[in-house]
Amino acid sequence: MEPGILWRGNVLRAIAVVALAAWVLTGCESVQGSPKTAIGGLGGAAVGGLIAAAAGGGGTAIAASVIGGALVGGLAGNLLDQRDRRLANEAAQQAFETAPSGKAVAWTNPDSGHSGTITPVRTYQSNGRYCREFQQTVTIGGRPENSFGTACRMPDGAWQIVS
Amino acid sequence: MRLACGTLLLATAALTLALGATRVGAQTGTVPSDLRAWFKAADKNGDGRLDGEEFRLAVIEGFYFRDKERKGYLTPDQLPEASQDAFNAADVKHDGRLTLEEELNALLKDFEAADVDKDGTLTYEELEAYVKRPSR
Repeated sequence: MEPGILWRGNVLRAIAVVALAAWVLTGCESVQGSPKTAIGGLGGAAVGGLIAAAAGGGGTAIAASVIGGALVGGLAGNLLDQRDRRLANEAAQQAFETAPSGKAVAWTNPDSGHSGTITPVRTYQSNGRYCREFQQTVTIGGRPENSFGTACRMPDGAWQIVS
Repeated sequence: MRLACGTLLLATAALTLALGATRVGAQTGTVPSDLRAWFKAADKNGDGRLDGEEFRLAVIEGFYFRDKERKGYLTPDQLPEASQDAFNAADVKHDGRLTLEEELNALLKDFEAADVDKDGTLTYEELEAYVKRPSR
């Protein structure tokens, strides 16, 4: 067997478990209108390591907001109040930073009754920046409205909606 | 470089993080306990096979979460269980940083090597067999 294959095998093992680290971050994350941020569903022995792996273990500062572009547009965007928007932005920031693709981060504003989810669906790099495509659902009056978008991480750690 | 390549234990570091527990010995040839679950998660269309794109997306996502400070590259200190020689083998630009491109290039070759029936996809069995393959 050629030597290259041998180390590649190790790299493959590595990426499998590196990716696993992301995947195992299961559980529904949510942003409540308290204004607390709750992370639920991370159980068992995985908690410490997974949070460290996904959120930076204290080494990553999570920026305060999503900037540059409307996170929620259209009719739904017009109907959201300021607190809704803040909660949606916090949920988006949390989703982009910590949620593996396919895992939703939810927000709820008990005052307005509005809620939503943000689910990253794909991660990639563009011009050295990390970008994440996402699916968003905003529920107003019991009616969910879905949309898709892309956000890219700026050097200061904030996420910019680019489409 | 044979020795260096055979001792690349990125898996150990990653598995430690993944399980968040003691270092459970992700030595070469050891199959992570949740490999099947990972495979299933990466298999977006649920056809029981990882195609190149599914594999690539899983690699990128893994890199993203490993790169805690979002610098766009990984350094040896972020992979403490990997030998320096092994890291250097993957670091084709020899700048002490493993970029996503470098990792992807290496791993897509792995994908091809693991794909024993050369159908362009990996079954779980192929993946597991490749991961189990002892290194020297």
